[in-house]
Amino acid sequence: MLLNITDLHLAFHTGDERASILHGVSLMVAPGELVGLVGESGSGKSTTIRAALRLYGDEAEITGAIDVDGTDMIAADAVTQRQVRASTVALIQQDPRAALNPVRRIGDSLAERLVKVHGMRRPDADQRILSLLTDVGLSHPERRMRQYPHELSGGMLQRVVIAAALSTDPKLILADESTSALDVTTQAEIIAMFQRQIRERGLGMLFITHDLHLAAAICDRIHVLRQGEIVETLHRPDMFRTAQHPYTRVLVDSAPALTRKGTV
Amino acid sequence: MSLVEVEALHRVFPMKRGGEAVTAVNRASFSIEAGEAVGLVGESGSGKSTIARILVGLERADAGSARIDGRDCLSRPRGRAARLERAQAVQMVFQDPNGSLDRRVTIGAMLERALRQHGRVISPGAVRKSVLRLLDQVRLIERHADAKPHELSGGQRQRAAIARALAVEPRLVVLDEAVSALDVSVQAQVLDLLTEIQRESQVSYLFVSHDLAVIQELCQRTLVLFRGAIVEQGPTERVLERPEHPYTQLLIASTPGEGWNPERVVRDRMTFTQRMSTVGDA
Repeated sequence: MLLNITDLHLAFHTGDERASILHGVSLMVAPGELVGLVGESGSGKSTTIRAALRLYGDEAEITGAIDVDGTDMIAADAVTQRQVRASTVALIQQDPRAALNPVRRIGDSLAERLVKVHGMRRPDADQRILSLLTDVGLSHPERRMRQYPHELSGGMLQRVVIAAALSTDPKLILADESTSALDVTTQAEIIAMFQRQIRERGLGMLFITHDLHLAAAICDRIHVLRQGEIVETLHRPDMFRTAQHPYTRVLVDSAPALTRKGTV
Repeated sequence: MSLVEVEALHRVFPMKRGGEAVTAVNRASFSIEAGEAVGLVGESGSGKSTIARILVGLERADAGSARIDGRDCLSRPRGRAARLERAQAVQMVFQDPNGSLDRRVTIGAMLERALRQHGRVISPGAVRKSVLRLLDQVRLIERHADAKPHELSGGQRQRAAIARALAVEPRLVVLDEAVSALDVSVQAQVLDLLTEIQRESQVSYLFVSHDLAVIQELCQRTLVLFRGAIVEQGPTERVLERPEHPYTQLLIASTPGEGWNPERVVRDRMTFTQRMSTVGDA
């Protein structure tokens, strides 16, 4: 199992106050699986994956079990945790601007990790990045590598961040609203690329989205998160048609669906 | 005469660093009737926001004409009377209420200011009454008048932004991705609200969105924008069910839903791009 979260509880401490955020979340991602995590803002989607990678400090009180590709992330020391984050997992965050150093060129930002952490030669790293930037559909990739983040649009930066995530050949990708800011056709390109990697080299993926229709179209199963609790898990092939929980029904009924006939 | 009449609107942005100039709006023509909700759909960079911003006077045009209620949107005469007239013709609601609302001011004070600045001159008692009426119109309650934006939820903040736009009773409200940042259940509520307001007040909407499903919910007519040009327009139902332009067909096929296949979308996109470039060469 690439990701196995069991009965995860999380609470934040600020001064004397204690805010309980996650109440017993359990989910799994196996190699070659695309698992969806849906829910509204504040339901704890992002908190779940950040906690899984142990990105919170002492302010967070965590209980439960988190296993990433055989490493017990609760018991592991900081060095081991970092190793897992560097080589096994890639996290694609919602805001690409927060993920890139604003004062470094895009090529330098992306190559640095490959050279310093993964011991690649700089020319090889550059070559790899160039080919990935092309794969994610970025126009003029050579020029983009010399540009700074502020010179690119949000959609272009999102593709840069996705290329960065793929650059280390991770086994597991945690994607937090990774395609939400993209146009539908660009989104399709990126998803097709993810699906290829899932099929061809057994990549596992946890896909956080607020887009129920997208989740239903691509995920093997979908967990519905509400106020820090998984209220329902939906399976193929019926997905939302079999939804039982009233909260899932509300989500499904609220999501505007395009009724289409006679399209191409 | 239609409420909004836009003809051959054109806007080119020169690129910095010697890059190619971008034609953001390419001879776009359309009209909006009084009381009508019109959707403007297209990808990012297609020129949707530029058209919206030209209509409200935040952006200038290089050529063409745009009139709202007979008034020229492209000239900006000075003075209180002209400003008031402009405000009463068109108001805008932005995507991010955190950016468009003043965080230091309560919702009530913000609405009062909008009423005093652009509305008819009214007494303090009447202003308060109007504030409550506006809050009621967007399904907020009296208590929200004393709240600052950060004390409200995202949906409530966007309702407050809509209330401000309605304060001067404009003929047209331009909404630029106004529900895109909201959760689905909140989005549904705001869409219902917009439909009700339109029915009650006969206001017109230009609803800018990349989301066809949202446009289908709200808009009677749809304009499809590709590289700054309106490539298709018509009743929303007709455009979505029998799209004529290949770009509209591509957009519809790309929207995730049952049987959605990303690989096929990518192939369709490639075929479309090739087709467009051959058309461009001819």
